[in-house]
Parts: sequence; C-alpha cells; structure tokens
Amino acid sequence: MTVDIAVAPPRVAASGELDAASAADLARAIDEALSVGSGMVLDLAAVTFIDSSALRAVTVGVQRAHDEAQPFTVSSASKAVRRIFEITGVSSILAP
Amino acid sequence: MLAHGGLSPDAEEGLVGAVSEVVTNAALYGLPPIRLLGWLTPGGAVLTVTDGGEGPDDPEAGRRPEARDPGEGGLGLWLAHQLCSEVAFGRHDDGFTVRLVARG
Repeated sequence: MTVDIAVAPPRVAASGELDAASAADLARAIDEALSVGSGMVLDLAAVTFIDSSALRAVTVGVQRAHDEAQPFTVSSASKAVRRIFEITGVSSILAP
Repeated sequence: MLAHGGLSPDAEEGLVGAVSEVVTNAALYGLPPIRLLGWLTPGGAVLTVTDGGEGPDDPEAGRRPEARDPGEGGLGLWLAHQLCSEVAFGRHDDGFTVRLVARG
C-alpha cells in the first residue's frame, strides 16, 4: 500500500488481496490522502481480491470525500474486483 | 480442490470470496477452532466453515438487503449470499457451521 500526497490529486495504490487483515491499513491510507483536502485516486490495478471489510473502508472514504466535497475516484479495478463493487451497488465510484 | 472440479471461473471465484467472508466472520465473531471442510459434487462444490461459537443471533443474517450494515458481519454474509448458490446455517453441539454451495 502506498500513499503519494506529492501528486495532485493524492494517490493511494494498493496491491494483492485486500481483506480484513489489510482493511485498517487501507482506511488509514485513504484518510491520509483525504486529509490533504484535494480529493484522491484509489488505484486498484494491482489488487487481485477485495472483501467486504476492505470494501467498507473504501465506501467510508467515499462518504467522507462526499461530505467534504472532495472528488474520489477508484481506478483500474480488475474484473474480479469490479464484480464486488457491482454486487454491492457502488460501482458508480469506479472509473470507466 | 477447486482446480479439479467443474465450476466455471465465475462460480469458483464467487465461492472463494464467499468462503473468505465466512472465515473472516468466524475469526472476528466466532470461537476457535475454525475448521474448513470441502468436497466436489457433480454440480460443483460444497464448503463448510465451522467454529466453536453460536453464529449470529439473527437467523436471517445476511439475507436481507438492509442487513448490509457493519456489526455481526452483516455485509460479509450478505455478499457471501450473492457470490454462491446457497448459504445455510447449522447450530450443533460442536458450534456453528456455515455451508456454502457453488454450482455452475
């Protein structure tokens, strides 16, 4: 998991499997990026799997971004990851 | 095990996701030990996750759309229902079992 706040907008890049064990790290990374105040991009290109706890970390971040009028984009989701977003009804936050 | 079965890639991927959710719930809300048992069937695969606890209080846990709330693993269980063909609960002397069936 990397957080780059030197770019605009700040970028969080995650990799591998995002599950209950890594959800807290993901939430922290998202919080750090959003604390800059200029929105963020969550890059999931290297993520192979996402579960409900990691998804919740993302949706909590999306909600915070919305509350603070910051843009939040989730980019490069694989087919498997996209499936989880679609089933849960939050695929609108995925970049096309 | 799944590599030797006849499940479609989607069904297999769904079962793996469902198992992950159920095992996570067992680890977070159940009691050790957590045991997994799996076998192939003509139609697909069955996987059971057993822990020493009692499972959710609500017998309909994970079945209603509004059960997608934090706490008691609601979203994970709901997702498991979407990702595989059948989810069944069993409470018994040794604890609590979730039985997942994947077909197709």
